Amino acid sequence: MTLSDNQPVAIEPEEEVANSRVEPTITVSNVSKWFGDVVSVNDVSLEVRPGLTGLLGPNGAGKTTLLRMICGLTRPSGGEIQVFGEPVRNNPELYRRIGVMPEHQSTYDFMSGRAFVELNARLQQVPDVKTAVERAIEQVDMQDAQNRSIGEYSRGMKQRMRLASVMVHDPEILLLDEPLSGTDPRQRIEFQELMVRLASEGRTIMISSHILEEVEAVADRILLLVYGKLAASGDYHVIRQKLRDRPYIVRVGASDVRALAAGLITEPSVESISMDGEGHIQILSRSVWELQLAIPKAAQALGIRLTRVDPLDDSLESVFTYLADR
Amino acid sequence: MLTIYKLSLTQMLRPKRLLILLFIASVPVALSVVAAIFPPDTEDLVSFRDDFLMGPIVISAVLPIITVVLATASLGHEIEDQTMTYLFLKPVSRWGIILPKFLATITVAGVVVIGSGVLTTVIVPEGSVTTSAAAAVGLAVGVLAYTSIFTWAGLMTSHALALGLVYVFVWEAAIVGFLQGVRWLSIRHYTEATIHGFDDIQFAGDAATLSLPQALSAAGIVVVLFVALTIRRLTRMDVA
Repeated sequence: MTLSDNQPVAIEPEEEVANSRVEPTITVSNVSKWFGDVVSVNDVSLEVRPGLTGLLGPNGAGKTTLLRMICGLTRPSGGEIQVFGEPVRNNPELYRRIGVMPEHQSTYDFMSGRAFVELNARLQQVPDVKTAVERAIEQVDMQDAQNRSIGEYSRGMKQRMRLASVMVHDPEILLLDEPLSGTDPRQRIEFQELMVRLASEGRTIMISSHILEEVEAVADRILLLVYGKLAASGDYHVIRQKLRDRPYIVRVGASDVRALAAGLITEPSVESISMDGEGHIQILSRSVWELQLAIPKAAQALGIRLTRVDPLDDSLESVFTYLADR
Repeated sequence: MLTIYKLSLTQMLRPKRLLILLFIASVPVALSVVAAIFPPDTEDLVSFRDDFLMGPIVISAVLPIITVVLATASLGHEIEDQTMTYLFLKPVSRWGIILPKFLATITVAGVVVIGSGVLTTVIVPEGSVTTSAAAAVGLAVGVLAYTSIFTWAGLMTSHALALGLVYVFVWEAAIVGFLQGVRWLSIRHYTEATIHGFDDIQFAGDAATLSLPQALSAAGIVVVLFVALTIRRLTRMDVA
């Protein structure tokens, strides 16, 4: 399976199949978006159902553009998007049921955090503004700082108050673009717990991220976007397993690389070994755990001094590309 | 709509910007105070008021500068700093966003500009209630027309303020001054013609070339046309 085949990998365990009987809340059909000559989203079709869905992909994969189209901020160049069975573009009444947290950090910085949440509640025409505002601020644990100006907030505090503003009308769908940006580890855990709880109440939550680990703890299902195409969709844990199986290239420098290569080539964790132009060896392995034990063991047995051990392709892009090419 | 109106007023009444606008608006008022303290001959006083304070300063400078600054920012700044998404993602129609923003601009610009013009006519001796009322109505027409054009311009380009100033100081002040046939395309002349229609003020000794009905009709067309264009633009545009 490669990107050029234009068909995403569908990974559908039993729970996924059962979930597919639930009506989708978001339907994206053959949607594309291009800006001049640049194709940002390319013929993407997907369905999102209640629960927590992670929209994953490296920076520039088209996640934000896709989310903007789903929430109606951007018009698709082609294809169709429906939310609750209705077109979302120029359909403001739908926003009573949707909460969107855009990627950008801009807010009305001259307001207090509470005033900002209250503004959103009023714009959503929430019947009991005071109660809704207090509930939303409590959900993000910002009671102590609610009366401070947003301009004085740290990035993480601002993100939490923006999240409160998105949840103030108790929406059925939450679309969150990089919501954990700027938050500290404790806030991430709290955020993840909150998302799991909201999803368990039957809401549809879609979280975009370029960091796999951010989504790992919460998403039931992921959509993997690479180069504007939907490269894979399905259960997160199955995809994670594929990640564990992916081959790694490790570069090793040693006092005698040829002898070390000869000693390692018979190891089960080693698939192949090659020399690079700088006098190092590059080892291809599908089991990094075993390889990291085998290298020092072989070096010690052969009396070879190791000078460097570097993973060569551990970048996020290589991980996504690997998944996309499966 | 009231929420967006209040939000827009709060944004426009930020202290720094307000102080600058009030400073600009106070220039003709301060000059009229000087004229009241050291009055010249009656004829010179009327000429000073109409040909210097009201024409070149209030109508040609205070009115367009204040209105263009506020109107270009009312939607343009929110698009630029991306806070507009908070309004777009709410159960509010696009005209429900534009209308309160338009009204907020008219409120602030109207109070400051009309206040400046009326105070100028009141303070300078030889004025009358009719003169002040004519100034108020004429300036209101000007505020409405400039606001509608430059709210739209703020959506179309991030250089709307610069373009607005070019329109005011190159088109209206220079080109229209020489080519009287294109006065139909000058907000400044709608304003002057409206004031002239209510009171017989002759700006710079030049009788208004548009009648009152013509000026009001032209201004009305401008307002309707540009409000419609703004709604159309806001409905079709993609927001970052």
